[in-house]
Amino acid sequence: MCGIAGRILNQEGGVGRDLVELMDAQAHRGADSTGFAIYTKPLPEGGKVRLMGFDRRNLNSDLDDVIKILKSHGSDLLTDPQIDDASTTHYSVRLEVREPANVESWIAEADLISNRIEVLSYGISLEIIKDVGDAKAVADKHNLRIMQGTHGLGHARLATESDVSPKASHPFWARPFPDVAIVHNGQITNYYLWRDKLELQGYRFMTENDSELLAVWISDQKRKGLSLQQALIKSVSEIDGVFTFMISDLNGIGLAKDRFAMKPLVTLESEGELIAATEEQAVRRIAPDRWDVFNYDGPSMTQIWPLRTIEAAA
Amino acid sequence: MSEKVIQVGHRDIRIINQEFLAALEAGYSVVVTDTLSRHNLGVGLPQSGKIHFDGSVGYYCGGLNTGTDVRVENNAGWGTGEAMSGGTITVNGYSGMSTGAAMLGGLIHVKGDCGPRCGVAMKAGDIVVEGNLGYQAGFMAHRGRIIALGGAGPSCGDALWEAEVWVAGDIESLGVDAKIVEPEAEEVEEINALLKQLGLEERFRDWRKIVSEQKLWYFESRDANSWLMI
Amino acid sequence: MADDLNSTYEYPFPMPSEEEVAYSDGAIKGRTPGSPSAYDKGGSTRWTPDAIAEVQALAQLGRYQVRGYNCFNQRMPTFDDLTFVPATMTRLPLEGYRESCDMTTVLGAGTGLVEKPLELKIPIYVASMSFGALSASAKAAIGYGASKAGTMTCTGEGGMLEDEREASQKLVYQLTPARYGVDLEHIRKADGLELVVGQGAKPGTGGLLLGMKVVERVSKMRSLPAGVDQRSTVRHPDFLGADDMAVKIEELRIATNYKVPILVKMGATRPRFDVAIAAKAGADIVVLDGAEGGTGASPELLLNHTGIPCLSAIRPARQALEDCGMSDKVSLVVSGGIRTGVDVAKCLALGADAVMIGNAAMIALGCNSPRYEEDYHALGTSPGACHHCHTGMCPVGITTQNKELEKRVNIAAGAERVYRFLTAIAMEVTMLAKACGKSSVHNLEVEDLRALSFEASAFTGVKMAGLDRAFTW
Ligand code: SF4
Repeated sequence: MCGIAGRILNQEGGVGRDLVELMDAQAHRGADSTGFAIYTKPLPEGGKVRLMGFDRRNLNSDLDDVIKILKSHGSDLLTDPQIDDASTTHYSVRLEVREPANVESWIAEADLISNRIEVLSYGISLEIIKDVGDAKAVADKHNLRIMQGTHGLGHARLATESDVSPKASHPFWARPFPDVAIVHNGQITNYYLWRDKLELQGYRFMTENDSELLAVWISDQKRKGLSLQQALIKSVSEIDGVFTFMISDLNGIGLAKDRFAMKPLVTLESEGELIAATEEQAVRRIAPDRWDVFNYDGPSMTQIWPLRTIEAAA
Repeated sequence: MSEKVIQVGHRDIRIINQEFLAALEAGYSVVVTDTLSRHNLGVGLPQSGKIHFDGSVGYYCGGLNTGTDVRVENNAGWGTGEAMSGGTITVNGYSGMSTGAAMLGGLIHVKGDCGPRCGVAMKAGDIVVEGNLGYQAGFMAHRGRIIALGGAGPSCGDALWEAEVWVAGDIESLGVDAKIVEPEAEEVEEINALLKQLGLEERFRDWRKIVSEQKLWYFESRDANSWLMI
Repeated sequence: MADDLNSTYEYPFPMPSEEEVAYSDGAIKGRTPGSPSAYDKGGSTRWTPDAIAEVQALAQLGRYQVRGYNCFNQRMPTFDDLTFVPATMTRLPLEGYRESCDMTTVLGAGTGLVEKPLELKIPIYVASMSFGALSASAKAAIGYGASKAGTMTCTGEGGMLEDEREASQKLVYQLTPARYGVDLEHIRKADGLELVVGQGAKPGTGGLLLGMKVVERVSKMRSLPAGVDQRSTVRHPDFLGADDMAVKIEELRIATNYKVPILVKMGATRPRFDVAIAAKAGADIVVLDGAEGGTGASPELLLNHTGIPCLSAIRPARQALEDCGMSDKVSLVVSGGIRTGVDVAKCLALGADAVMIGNAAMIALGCNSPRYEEDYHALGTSPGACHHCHTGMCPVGITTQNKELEKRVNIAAGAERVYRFLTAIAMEVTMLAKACGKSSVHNLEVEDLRALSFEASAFTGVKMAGLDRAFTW
């Protein structure tokens, strides 16, 4: 029930602004909440933590707890926390931290207080920003348009549950895998079967959202030795239902589509750049005059768009 | 016929459509600029007239058309010409999913490729695709013809009623309850005549005509006597 | 043997013969002991005669069974598990036989987008039943009856029948996934457009019309070869999710120049989510059809074992609208097994804005009436028990395409009966509303009800009778 978008630039630039445009054009597909995963300039050391707290009245004590847990895992703040000053009950926090000794055990402990303040993302580059409202509202609140980076994802959500929770919006971080995020359009019909299996393996889920499952599912397959390409291909036969999802990491963006050819994705690629969105009219926002778009609308499609900037650096 | 230029941009889609109707009814030939792949451009068009979208359009362009000649310069989104009962729609580029869904008449001419389920549930009319057909072309199409000069993707002619899918190129796979039959000479003539009308080069084509195997047609009532008494 | 009593006692008379012990109580040689009548009945809780017959039928057919009518699952709760608690000391009743009670029902006005919302005299209209499933005469009779009652009907899947358009002053036109005969001309003739994503009788599955009912006129309207089993698609051809549906709804609004409301009809499955999504996608009216809803033909398993009952669907649907702030904007219509004005009133109290009746209208028209008994018998049934709509051999001419049988529908008398039935049940609704002190039937509320069973209370959140609070876990 949503619109998704992906963007890769061939050098660091205004990826925030582009993703906001892509999502604004698709606001009619769901304006309950909008979210972005943006790969900003990697920190020379340590990682970025994006958090959402649910009760501003307890901001100080909840944040103290977050920092306490970080410290107990050999991490600490590198800079002062950045906190939004909106009037909403929920609030968002950005931290730059020294890398925890073990990200997995840190996030396991951090998740114990996720009912008060939840880690949205962790990575040297990835920053996930999500909130209620349409693309414009979220962009204004979080200054997204000025965010610089290499690539990223966007998502507009029409909530399928009645109450709109800011935390249930996309993109999702593939906890505990740093710098992996996902956006997804569709519904997975064997969701609980997979979730139960993954939970038995020790993974934890913050929401009942099937996109979160996809992120962990792919990352788990990779941990078990599959390449991203192999994991994407496997997802098409193992995940049931209709879906089109894009998964991103430091190296680029991958795509997989269900076997029924249901959920669309329109792309425009050139010279290491990618513009991808559910609807062509969103692509037009960035490339009004180019029409050599490609429609990923066949059954069982997968694709990987690597980051040119990474290739060049390597 | 004098021309009227209507700009789309980010204006209200309802008003834009009203302007189309007014211009067409006043006898103008309409040129639409700055289309930006917007949805619902040219819905419920009148029984005659010409409208030219100078760019890409979004979903349902020419939907419920009753007789206007529609031309799309670039790509079209989902459900182009859905439920149209007359007129023609020409798409210069790619035509997205469900092109000609449930159409009742008229002609859709796609110069590029076509997305999945082209001609789904169509009741009559023709869809001519110069490129390739996507997945499940002609899904549950009742009547009418889908004609592809290129090839066809997987599950071609899936669960057809009496519609026909004609493919000149390679077919990736046939759909449920579909079979290839040898076309009659007169049928090929008819197809050629139609193609000629569209200005398409006349030459030999190795047509595969796909029709229903009719195995799904009488699934329940074949043993009517046995269920009559439940 | 260890458990043998090994009695050493001896009778003061001779030991009876084995023959006497075994059969002197009337038992029959050659069969297991016990009372013959109890034994004959069998008693397996799983393998009831019905369950056995089902296996036998499947073994014969090699496929599911098909039938018409509605849900036979005995576990479906009924509205009878709720009772009204009229005004007594805490509230003051209105005079049931004298004072008036407003029944006007306006659907689709809330979004403010629509030029002509559906204005009905009563909070009841006749559900979508297709021409094809029903005969043209039955459709016409229902249309006239509804028109006289100041309410509307709905075309069903099979396209717009001229007879019905003429008969029905207000007619909702369905756009089902199969889109039979849907074009601009018909869309502009409708008073409302209904996008069907499912129906209560068989949610998740498309329409079904067996070959014997696909006669020439039906096949023409549906662009089908005559005589085929029409098994319609379940997914719409040109939109797949709520996100695309929003675009589709905009298209329909443009095509009708924002004149008529857009309805979205669905079977009741996960109403709390489904209704919210439909509302957000831009529907003016959401129609929620409970599992008890009727149908002309369906695989029997779907009729009996899919969907949730109407009773349990209304409150989550209303809640969903409230949660997303759409309660005043989007109208809620419910249906599924509504028999009388009492059921209607209970639906309104639970949160519906209007109620659809299908089977009830057919019965008013003459379904299951005690005429032509030999024809019922020929179908293996009898008046009052008939559910053979799928065969196309309806003894009273309602669900048939056979010209001779169809003549058994007296359009004029049938229309009048439908009208009187609608009048009667509307009157029933006002009677209850007035007893509860309401000057409008739309002021019925959950507080006016009490539940007679834990089950009904748990399903609806209605307070338990006597306990005055809802059953909770
Ligand atoms: S009498 Fe006719 S309409 Fe009624 S259940 Fe029997 S077949 Fe169906």
